[in-house]
Amino acid sequence: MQTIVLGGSMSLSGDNADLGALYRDSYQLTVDAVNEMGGVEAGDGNTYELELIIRDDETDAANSKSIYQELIDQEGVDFLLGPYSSTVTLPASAVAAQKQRPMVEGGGASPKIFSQGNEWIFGLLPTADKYALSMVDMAAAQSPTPESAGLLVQDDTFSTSAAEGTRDRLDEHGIELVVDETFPSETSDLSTNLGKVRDAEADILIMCAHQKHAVIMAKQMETQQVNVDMAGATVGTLSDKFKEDAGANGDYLYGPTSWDAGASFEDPIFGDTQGFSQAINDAYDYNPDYHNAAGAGVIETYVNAFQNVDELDPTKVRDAVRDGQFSSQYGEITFLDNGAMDISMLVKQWQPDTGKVLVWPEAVQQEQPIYPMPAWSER
Amino acid sequence: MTRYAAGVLEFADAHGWKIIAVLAVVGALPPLFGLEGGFYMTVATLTLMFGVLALSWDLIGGQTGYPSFGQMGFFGLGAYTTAILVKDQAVAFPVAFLVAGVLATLAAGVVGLIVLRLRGGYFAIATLGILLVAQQVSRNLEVTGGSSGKILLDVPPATTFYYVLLGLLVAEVAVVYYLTGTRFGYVLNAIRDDEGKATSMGVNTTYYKTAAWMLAALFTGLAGGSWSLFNTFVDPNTAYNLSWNVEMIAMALLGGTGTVAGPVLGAFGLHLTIVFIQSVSLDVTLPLLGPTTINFAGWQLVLLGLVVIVTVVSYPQGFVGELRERASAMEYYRHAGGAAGQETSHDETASPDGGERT
Amino acid sequence: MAVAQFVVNGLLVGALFASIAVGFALIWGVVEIINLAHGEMVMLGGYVSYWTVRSVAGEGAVSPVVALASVPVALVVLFVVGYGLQRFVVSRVTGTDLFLTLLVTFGLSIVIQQLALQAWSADPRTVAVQFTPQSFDVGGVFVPKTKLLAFVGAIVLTVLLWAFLRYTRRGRAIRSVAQNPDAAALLGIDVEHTRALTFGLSSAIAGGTGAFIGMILFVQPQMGLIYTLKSFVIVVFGGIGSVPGALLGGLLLGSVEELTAGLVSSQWTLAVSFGLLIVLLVVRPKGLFGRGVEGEP
Repeated sequence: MQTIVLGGSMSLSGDNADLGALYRDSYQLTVDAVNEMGGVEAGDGNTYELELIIRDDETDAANSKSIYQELIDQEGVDFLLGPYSSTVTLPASAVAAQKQRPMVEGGGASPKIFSQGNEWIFGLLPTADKYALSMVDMAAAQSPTPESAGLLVQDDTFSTSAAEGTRDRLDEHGIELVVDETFPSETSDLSTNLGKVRDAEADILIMCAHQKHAVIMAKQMETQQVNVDMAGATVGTLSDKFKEDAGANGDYLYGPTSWDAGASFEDPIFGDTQGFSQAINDAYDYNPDYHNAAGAGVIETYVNAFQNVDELDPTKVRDAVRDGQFSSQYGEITFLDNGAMDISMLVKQWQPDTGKVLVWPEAVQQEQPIYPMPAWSER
Repeated sequence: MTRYAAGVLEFADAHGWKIIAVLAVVGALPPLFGLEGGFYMTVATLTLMFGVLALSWDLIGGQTGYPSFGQMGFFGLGAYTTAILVKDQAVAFPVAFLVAGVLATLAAGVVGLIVLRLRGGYFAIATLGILLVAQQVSRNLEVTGGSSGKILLDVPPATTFYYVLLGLLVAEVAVVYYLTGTRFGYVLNAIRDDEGKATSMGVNTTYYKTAAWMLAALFTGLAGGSWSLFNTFVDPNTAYNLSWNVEMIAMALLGGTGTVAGPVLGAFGLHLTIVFIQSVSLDVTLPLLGPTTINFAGWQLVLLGLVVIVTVVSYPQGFVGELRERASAMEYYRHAGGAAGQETSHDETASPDGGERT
Repeated sequence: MAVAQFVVNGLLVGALFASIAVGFALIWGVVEIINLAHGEMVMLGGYVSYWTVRSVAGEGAVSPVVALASVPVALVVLFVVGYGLQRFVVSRVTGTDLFLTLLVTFGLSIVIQQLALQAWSADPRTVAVQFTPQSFDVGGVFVPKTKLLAFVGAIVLTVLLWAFLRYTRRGRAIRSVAQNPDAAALLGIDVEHTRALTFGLSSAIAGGTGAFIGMILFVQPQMGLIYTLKSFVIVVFGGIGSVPGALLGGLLLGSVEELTAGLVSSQWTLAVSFGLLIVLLVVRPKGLFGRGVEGEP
């Protein structure tokens, strides 16, 4: 049987190694599952086995670029799997455009990736500007209605994009932005900025950053006695590791997710979403989150495209990806013209008795959000 | 070995310009004979670029004795200039390229007023400070794209940059080679060896220092200006990259500071070694882990660190410096090492002690 | 009121900068080395503390006593590491061009960082210390207890070092090597050993501070560089070889940073700190209490 090679770089060491591993696990699981099912029956009449090449880019843009170049030039890879993190995905997508090979990614959400006129990049995550919107909507629907908000933004591309979207949505709801601060990624101390949020008496706090800062926020909100009705971060508040590090301080915090393990979308490889969750559990002994789901979705996007072309040519596969529309454990996968997907986030909250539960939108919530958050002195 | 070393140096001294010309022609050939865009092209182009950087650093560091830890500041300035002009102002690359060089030189002039008054370690730290401030500023400004930097999709083909950087390297080698044979180069070395004495002899050291500093910045800025488009991406972390600053110093040291060929050889050698190590991928079966692929991807920095340590500790004169030492050891032996009064083996072609310019 | 909180935040964290900078100042003054790997000593100390706490108390938050007990462990381990580094590696470039020492120590810092990364991954590690409630409320200004603990700890370490230098024989030996190594040698002082001792002490205090940092913030392989860079600013301000200068400089730098973050924006804190470095170098390179060294105009 012939082989199709899917290749890419991923954060297997460094700051994002935890999350990079989730993608690699999902890629491997899905490729293995496809091969066990007999391979891909491509539209050109042949059946192909899938092969995976993943190299460590250490979340470094320069490494990633040269890995993709090497994969294309040396290893003859025609179909690229995107890296993790917008910082790396943005330059990697430029390589895809230069070399005219399609790249499907589940790890880069900055809208900048999709606004460059790049016809070769496709992303499964909602764009960064959407990340905090659902949390804002949810807060706005509660009572007492929030009137003011504090926004803390890490100065990386993903977080600043998320912040832009958040500002617009706050404005639409008529919520006044009383604190709007950007902090350098290397900062580990948010006391001063949190103090400002407290002094401005903001009703809600949104932080656009990553997991490390989410933990700090959780801890320093207590030491600085920052009491708000709702606090959430764009990334990192929903992982088990976060709860471990933050402990009880993580209770009542919110976070967005593009996927829920309890959903039941039909999937051609795993049966449905629950089937996928089970497969991940069986293979790797952990509960999957949206990173896993997106990773598997990347492979499934290619499989679907291969099935719909009459020739395995990069340009034709690219077009098949763009025109494709199918249901998977991730949800319905279909791309906009600019390569992004148009999905909204769900919101989850850590509730002391029940753990991490889906609280928004109301149509699919598992529990009501506990709003407002109890003050620190009352816990 | 010493005889060989002396021979090489003599040949190089006598035929310097011809060697440069030949190397320039040889360097121009690869793209014509199959080296197309892609991985190897990137490696070749970056190797040329590091050659330019190491030599620029050496001009102010090795020749003049002012070791700059902020040379990358000019690189970044050049990189952002071309990126912003080409992307946001639709300026043609050649024009943007020249502007980058001019800006870098001017910036050097201004910064030089402040930092060239300091010496040695203090100068190094001050230049480090400049680099860090430049990095922070470009992270916080809109025009530079903040921490996301700028991405450029519509750029000239990779071969263009290969030739630009080749041309830059040849030009710089020619300029430095020429200068080291003139009074200008001599004064720079005098400043390095004993600035106090030079000043007391009436030399306007400020003028010479600043000229060298600005010349180094010019080439660095031009290198940066081509790099940003070649890379299709520029961000504060890579454009103002402290690691690269250390790398260029290590390259100059490895090859031999204060020489013309040294930094270039050091750049080629070190960069190619690093690339090689990075790309080595062995499929082995380890006892406990079973079949695994060992990839050295993460270890090139360790290698760099070790290279720096070993070079500084054991070989501070670098490769060309070692050559020179051995060569002059040979000279000594041939002309005076024999017991007084004995005839030394004559060698009419031995050059008298001049022209140590390699 | 807000300003008072900023200043308090700044002083609390500034003491940590100070105790790190003190070691840096000492190495610069005594061993005549600009130690770019100093921040890595902080990082290693943080990890030593983290692993000590984990192996004794398992996961989860720990009592202040347990956390504090890990500090001496960090002190001892880093003393040994520092002593060894100086004796076997750095001593080869001591006394040569200051710039070469910059390079060697930078090389060292890269190697240590990468080894740490390979060994422990980049996961941020933290030691959560149990205090209930978490902060003191001093008239509306919040003083987190763990930070106060770290503050006191850093000051204590600094004062101990200063007293050691002032009042013990070894300490005096160190100071005489700083002033005049040749004269010191003539007096029978083992200069090499003294230098290594200094390096060890400086690394120890840096490591101890790293342990405290692990309690209030995070420990990660690449956290060191920023502390090294801040030490530069502090030592240039306070003077090479001066302990009081470093202490004052650290507290001031912390306050300046937090005030910048509070009144302007945290985006600009680093630019301000590094800008200060340049200004100080140009205006007053000798620093407040220090003596000039070679290379100074």
